Amino acid sequence: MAVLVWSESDGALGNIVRSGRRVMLSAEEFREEAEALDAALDETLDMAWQALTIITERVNGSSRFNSFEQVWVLARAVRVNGILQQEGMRREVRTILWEALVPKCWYGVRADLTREPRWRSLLPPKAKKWQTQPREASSYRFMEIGYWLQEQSFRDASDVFDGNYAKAQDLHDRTALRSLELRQAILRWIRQQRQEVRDELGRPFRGKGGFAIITKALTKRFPSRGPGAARLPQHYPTDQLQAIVDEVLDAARDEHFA
Amino acid sequence: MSQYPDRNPPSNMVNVVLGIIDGYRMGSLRALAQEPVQNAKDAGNQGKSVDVEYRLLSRQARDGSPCHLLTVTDSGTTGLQGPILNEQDLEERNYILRADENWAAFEGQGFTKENEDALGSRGQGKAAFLYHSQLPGEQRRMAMLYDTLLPDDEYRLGARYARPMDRVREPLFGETARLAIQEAQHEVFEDTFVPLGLKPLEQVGSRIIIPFLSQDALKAIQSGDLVRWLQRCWWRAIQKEQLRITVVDEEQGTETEVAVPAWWGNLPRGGGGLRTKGKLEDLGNGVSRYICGEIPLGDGHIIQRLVLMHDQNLSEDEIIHDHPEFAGVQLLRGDQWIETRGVLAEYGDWIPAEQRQGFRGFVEFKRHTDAALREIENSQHDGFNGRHKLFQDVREKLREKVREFSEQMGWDQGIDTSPQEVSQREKRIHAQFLQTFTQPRFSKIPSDDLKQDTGGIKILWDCRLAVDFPYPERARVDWGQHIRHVYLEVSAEPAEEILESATVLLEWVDAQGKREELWRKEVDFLQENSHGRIHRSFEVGDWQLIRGKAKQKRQISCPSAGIHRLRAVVEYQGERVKEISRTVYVQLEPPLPPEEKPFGLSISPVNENAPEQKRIDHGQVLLLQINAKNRSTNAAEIYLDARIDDELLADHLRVELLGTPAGDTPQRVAALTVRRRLLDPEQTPDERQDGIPSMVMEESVHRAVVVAELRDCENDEVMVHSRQTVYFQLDPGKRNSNLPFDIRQKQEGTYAPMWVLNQALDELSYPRNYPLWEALSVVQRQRRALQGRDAFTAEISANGLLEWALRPVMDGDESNFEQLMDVSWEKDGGASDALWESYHVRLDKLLHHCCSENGSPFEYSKDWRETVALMLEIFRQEAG
Repeated sequence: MAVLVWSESDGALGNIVRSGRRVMLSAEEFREEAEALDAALDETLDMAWQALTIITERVNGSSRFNSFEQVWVLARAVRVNGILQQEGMRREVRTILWEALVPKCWYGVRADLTREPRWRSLLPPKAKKWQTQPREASSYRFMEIGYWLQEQSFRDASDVFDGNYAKAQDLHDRTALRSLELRQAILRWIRQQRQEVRDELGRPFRGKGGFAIITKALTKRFPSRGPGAARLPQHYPTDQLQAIVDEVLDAARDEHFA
Repeated sequence: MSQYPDRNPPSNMVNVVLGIIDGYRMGSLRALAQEPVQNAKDAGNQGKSVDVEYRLLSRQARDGSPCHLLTVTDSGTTGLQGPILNEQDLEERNYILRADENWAAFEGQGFTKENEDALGSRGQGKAAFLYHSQLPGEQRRMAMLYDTLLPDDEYRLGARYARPMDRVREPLFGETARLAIQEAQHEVFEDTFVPLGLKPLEQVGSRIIIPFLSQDALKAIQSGDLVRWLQRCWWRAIQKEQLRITVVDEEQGTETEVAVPAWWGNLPRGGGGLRTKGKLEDLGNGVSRYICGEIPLGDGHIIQRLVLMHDQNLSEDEIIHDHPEFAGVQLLRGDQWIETRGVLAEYGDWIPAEQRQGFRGFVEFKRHTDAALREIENSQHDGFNGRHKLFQDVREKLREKVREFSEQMGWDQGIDTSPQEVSQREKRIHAQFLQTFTQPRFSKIPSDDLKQDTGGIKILWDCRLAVDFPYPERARVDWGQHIRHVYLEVSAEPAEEILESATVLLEWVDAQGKREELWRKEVDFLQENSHGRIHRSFEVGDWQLIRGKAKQKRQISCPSAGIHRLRAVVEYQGERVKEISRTVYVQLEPPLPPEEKPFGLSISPVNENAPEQKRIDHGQVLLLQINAKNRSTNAAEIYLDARIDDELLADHLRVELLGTPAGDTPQRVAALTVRRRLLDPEQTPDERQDGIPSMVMEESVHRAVVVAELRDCENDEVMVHSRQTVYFQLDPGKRNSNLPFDIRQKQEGTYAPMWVLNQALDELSYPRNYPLWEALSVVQRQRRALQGRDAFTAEISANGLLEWALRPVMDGDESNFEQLMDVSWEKDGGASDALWESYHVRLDKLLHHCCSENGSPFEYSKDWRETVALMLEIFRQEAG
C-alpha cells in the first residue's frame, strides 16, 4: 500500500509516503498505513540490533560487524516481524520496503522522532548506492541478498558461505543457482568435507579456487542458458538433487586438489 | 592584540577520520593501499624508484594482551623533510607550504603545498593510517607514529593521537628518537602506551607506524587482500619500475612483492608510435590484444595509450562487486588507478556476457591531460567528476574503442549510431518489409473485433495430415502411384469460443504454387455442444497421381515432375486459420534426411488477448506452445523439459514423434500447450473464474524466460534447446513495435560487411560508408516500392531476416523459423501464390542445409540468394 521514507537535510528530519501503486492524488492518502508500518519497523530494527550484537559478540567473538551478518539479521528481523504482511505492504513489492527501511536505519529515526544511531550499524558499510540512486532497485541488492540468505538459519547460511557476503553475492548473481534447495544440498556437502577442503572453500573470495570451486562447477551443471537450462535445481527431488550436487562438487574438489 | 581573546575549539578527529574514510567508495582497504604509496611516490627522489614496505608485526600490549602493529616504510624518498611549523609559522606563510615541507604537510590538516592543488589536503593520507588503529578501550581512539631519517642524518619521531580530539606530539629528535623507537612500550601520550620494539631506520625515508591494528586490516593482510588492493592501485607504476611494494607478515613469515597482473605482464613499458586506430593481435592461447594511442579527445587533450585485451582462460578477479576493479577499462592517472569503467555497466552492449570475465583494459593519458584529469578527480582519488566535459569525452572515446575491439573480436556487437542517422524513410521500408514476412495472418483482424467475437480468447486450432507414400521412407510418388490413407485430424480449443462452422479442405499445390482443391468438408462444431477441446478426424481415402488430366474421382492431375505439396487447410470466419502441408517429390528422388540434427524445437509465446502484439499486460493471457519436429525417417520417443522463469512446465514429458519420409515436411507436434494469465505483483489480483491459471510475475516490468529442451530417452542428453522471451508490460528491445530487430547505421568501419545482425538478433546494422549505399540515390519521390536506398534497405532486411530465422536453428531452435513459415499469402491483390509457395519451399531447403553437416556451401549460398530474390519480388508486389 505505502511506506514512510525518511530523509535528513541540514539536520532536519523529514518523511514522505511512497507507494508503488497508482494513487488517486498522492500517496499521502495512505499515510496512516505507512506510519503504522514505520512503527512496526522500530521493533524490527531493535530486534535486528539485538540479534546482531549477539551474533557478532557471542557467536563470532568479534567486535566488528560484517556485511553477511548485517544483511542476514536485518532481513530475518523483517520476516520474523511479519513486516511484509503488514497493511502498508499490501500489494507492494519488497523493494519499496527496502526504500523505507534503509534510510530509517541510516538516519536512525524512530516513529516517535527519537534518534537511534546504533541502527546505522545494521547497514553494510559499502552499501551506499541508495544514497545517490534511492529509486533504483539495484541500490537495495544487499537487502535482497539478505532476504535470500535468511531463508536459511544463520548457522546454515554461514556454513554455506563461510559467513562471507561476497561469496553469497557471487552465488546470488547466478540466477539458476538461487534456490534454497540447492543451498541446503551445498550445505550438506560442505559439512561432509575434510578440514583441508573447508579451509580452501573459506579462503577470501577471488576468481580461482576458494568458493569459486562450488559456483563454477554448479553453474556448469545448472546453466541459466543453453543446453541443460530447462530444469533448475529446485525442480529435482531432494535426494536426486543431493546426489547431483555431491557428484558435481566431489569432482570439482578432486580436480582442484589433484 | 584583539580585546577579544580567541580559542581553538576541540575537533573530534575520530569523526573526521571516519568521515574521510567513509568517502572512499570502495572501502578503507583501498585507502590503506592507495594513500601511503601515493605519499611515498610524491616524495620520490628525483625520479628514482621508490620502495614501500608494509610490515605486519605481532606485539603485546602493556597488559599482556596480543596486538598487531603495521609499519609502512618508504625508502628512495626524501623523507619527511622540512621544518616543524607551529600555527604562527603557518599563518606567516599564508597557510601555503613549500613543496619540500613534507613534515609540516604530514602533520598539518587541510593545507596545500605550493604548485599543488587542494587534492589530498583533507588529510586522506593520515586518515588512511589512523582509521586502522584501534586503541583498546570503549571509546574509539586512534594513534599513529612516524619516524624519518633525512639525508643529513637527522632522525625524527612524531606521533598523532585522536582521543577523539586531535593531538600532535612535539617530535623527538636524534638519539632520543632512535631509542624511543626501540622501546618495548613507548608512552606516546600520557598513560597511553604502544608497543614498538622497532629498529631505527637505516635508509633515508620515512615510516608510519599503526599501533593496535584493526581486525579488518589484519584480515586483509593475512588473507592477501591488501596485496590485491595494492596491485590494483599501483601495477602500472610497478611495471614502469617507479615503485616496488612488498608486504611482509612477520607472524606468518611471508614476504610478498606486489606484482603486475599476469595478463599485463608482457606489455611494453612505454614507447610511442601508436596508431589512433588499433589492430587486434592474436597472442595465442586464446589471448587477443588491442593497442592504440595518440587519440585526440578535444580541447587538445590526448589519450596516450589504450590497451584492451581478452583472454578466454581468464576468470573474474574482483575483491568487491559493487564497483569494478579489473573488470572493465581502468583509468590510470599518473600511473595510478583511479577508477574502472565497468565491462557490464559501460560496455555490456558490445561485450557478450560469456566473454566479460576475460576482458581487461586500461587507458593512460598525456601529461597535460593527466594534469587536467587531476583537476576533476575527487579527493579520495577513486573517481572523476562525471559531469565534466573532459571526462565525458574520455568515456565516449573509450566506448568507441571498445566497440572497435568488439567488432574486431567478431562479437558482432560493435554497433552504435544515433537513431536519427537512419532516416525515417529507411525505417519505414525496413518495418514494412519485416511485417510482410513476419506478421501472422490474424494480425490483420483488429484486436477489438477479435475480443468482441471471441470474448478476448484466441481459438487454438491444430491440424494433422497423415499419408502413406508408396515408398515408406521417401516422399517420392511417381505417376500412376497412389498416396494412400490420407487422413485428417482437426482440433480446436476452447470449444465454447467457436461461434460458427469451419471448413476443412485438402488441396494440391504444384511446383509453381498453383492450387487445386481436392476435397472440402464443412464441419459444424456447434452441434457437438462440447466443452474444452473439440477433435474431429476425416478419412479422405487414397489418391492417385496421374500425368494427364484427372478423369476419375480421387485422381490428382500432375503433368510435371518436381516438388509439390499436399495441403490440409482449416478455414474459419473466412480466414485460413490453420494449414499443414506434406511435400511430395513427383518423379524425383528426395534428398536424404539430415543425420546430425534430426530434431527441431520451437516455442511460440502469443498474447491471446492481442495476438498482434508481443507485449503482454497485466491480466492478459499468455498462450505458450512448444512444438517438436522429427526430420529423421524413424519414429522417436523423447523427453521434453520446459520452464517459464522458475515454474517447471514439463518435467521429462514423454513426446512421441513419428518419422518423416525423406524429402517430406516434418510434422510439427504440439508437445506442450500452456495458458497463464500474467499478473503484475503490484496490481490487484485478477479474480476472473475462467479456469486459466494465474502467474504473478517477478516484477511489474519483466522479461520472463521460457526455456525448453528435448532430451534423449536413452542417455538423457540434451539434443536441442530453445529459449524465448515473454515481454511482460514492456515492448521488446529498444523499439516500440513487434519487429524482430531494429535497423541501425554504423558510424564507421573500413571494409565492413554490407550488413551485420548482432549476437542478440535484435539489431541489424550497415556501414554508412558501404560503397553501394553511398552510390545509391536518396529517394525523393517514391515511384516504385524498391528504388534507390530503399532497395538497399529491403535487401539487407531480407538477408537479416533469414539469418534471424536460421541462426538459432544451429542449436535446434526453430522458433524464429516457424514464425516465417507461419506467414501466409492470403491477401487480395498481393503477391501471387506461386511466389509465396516458392518462398516457402526455399525456406525449407535452407532449413535442410542448416541441419545437414555435409551440404555444399555453394548450394546453400545459391538457395539463400534465390530466397532473398523471391522476398524482394514478393515485397515489391505486396507493396505495389
